[in-house]
Amino acid sequence: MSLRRALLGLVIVATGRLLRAEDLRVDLNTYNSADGLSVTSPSVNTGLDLDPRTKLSLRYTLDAVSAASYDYARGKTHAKDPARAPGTCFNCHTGVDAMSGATRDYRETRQQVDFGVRRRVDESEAKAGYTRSQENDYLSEALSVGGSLDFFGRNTTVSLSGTRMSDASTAVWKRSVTRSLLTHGVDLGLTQVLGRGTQARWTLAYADAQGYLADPYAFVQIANNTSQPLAARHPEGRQRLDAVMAFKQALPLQSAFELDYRYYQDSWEVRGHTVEFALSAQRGDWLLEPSYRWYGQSQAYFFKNAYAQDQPYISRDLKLAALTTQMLGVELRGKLSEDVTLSLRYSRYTRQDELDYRLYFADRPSEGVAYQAGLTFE
Amino acid sequence: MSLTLRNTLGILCLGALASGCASVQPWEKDILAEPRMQFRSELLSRRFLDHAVITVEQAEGGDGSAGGGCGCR
Repeated sequence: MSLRRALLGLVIVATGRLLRAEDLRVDLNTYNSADGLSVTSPSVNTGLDLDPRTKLSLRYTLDAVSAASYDYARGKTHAKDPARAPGTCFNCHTGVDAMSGATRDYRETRQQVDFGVRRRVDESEAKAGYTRSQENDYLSEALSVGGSLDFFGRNTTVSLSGTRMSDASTAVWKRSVTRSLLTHGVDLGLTQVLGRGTQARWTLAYADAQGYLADPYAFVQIANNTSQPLAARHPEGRQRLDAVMAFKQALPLQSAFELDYRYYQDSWEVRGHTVEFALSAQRGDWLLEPSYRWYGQSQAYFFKNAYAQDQPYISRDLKLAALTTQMLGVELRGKLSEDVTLSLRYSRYTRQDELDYRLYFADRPSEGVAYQAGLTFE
Repeated sequence: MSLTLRNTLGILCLGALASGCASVQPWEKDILAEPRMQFRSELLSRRFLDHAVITVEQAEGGDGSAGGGCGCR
């Protein structure tokens, strides 16, 4: 972590204290996968009440990534010099890009700043936010506006929000070419109290992305031709739709369970189902919450494990394959003192698919472990 | 898309049906205010995990964001 980033974090903390921020939260998240990916992500989150109705929030996040989730550089041929042996790109490109595996040993950082403002008036709330995320080869900026209305004695809340996001990527070996992506999204939500210990939430989300949706570092081998791989090509438009339902029920002995379901579909013909179950056990100011998450998706219509011939869209992005994942986790939250709250979480994540990884010259990306710790000062 | 519309409209209709059936008074919301009743989508720890899984899974969204936002996707 550079001195400049550490100082920025300290400035946010100090600013929050100087302005008598209502709350301050500091988090440290780590993720390590069995195939070598390591992510360390500290973040600072602070809130400030301008007046009883208006609240500002500011969040700074740093992702420090090292090694690749899977080294499919070993299966790639150099873009400008196809005669070069596959997997030798790391000799001249160091520190290129995280997930593309364009190098054998890289380090990459991503910085994100989130700024938000909320104002509540009677039964309604309006909010606006700005997010900026930057990497050495990627810049993303998002603006969002939204609001919510309470009805029926605050037993029903309807929310609506819209987001406009602009992304720009520039491959490190070709800085003169900038690829852009523009995404517009809208979310409609309904939260309903169903009883003294029962509530549910429904969300419908739609987003339209137009622009460059491929990976500038990814190349695809056609048949047995290893000397002239082709750059991955994805459609330059994607529409996605999510329908989410969450149900929370209080149980005896100060406990509760939550059941979440998400249906996903996009115009690349990927269909996804996410089911998540959590049990919460509360003892005084402490809460223990084990959870289980299952996800399954079908593959994109143009994805293939291996291509016999060129076609309009080609990709070996593992995200576009048919796959299932599972996540087991447990979280502990509670008060250390009157104004300090601690949260600790452990998660184990596994992926299963039917792909032939010999074609990727790579190990199967199988599992990872995340540790998370957070302190909130109120 | 027809299947999607049917599914999503069904989910929304369930929500609409549920609306209005509650008559919980403000002084009866003590349980709902407890930490155990917080929806998991509101937890700050979810942000990191959500960001981690979108590097593996194609599905995203439904959490108020437009998705995307980094080159790791």
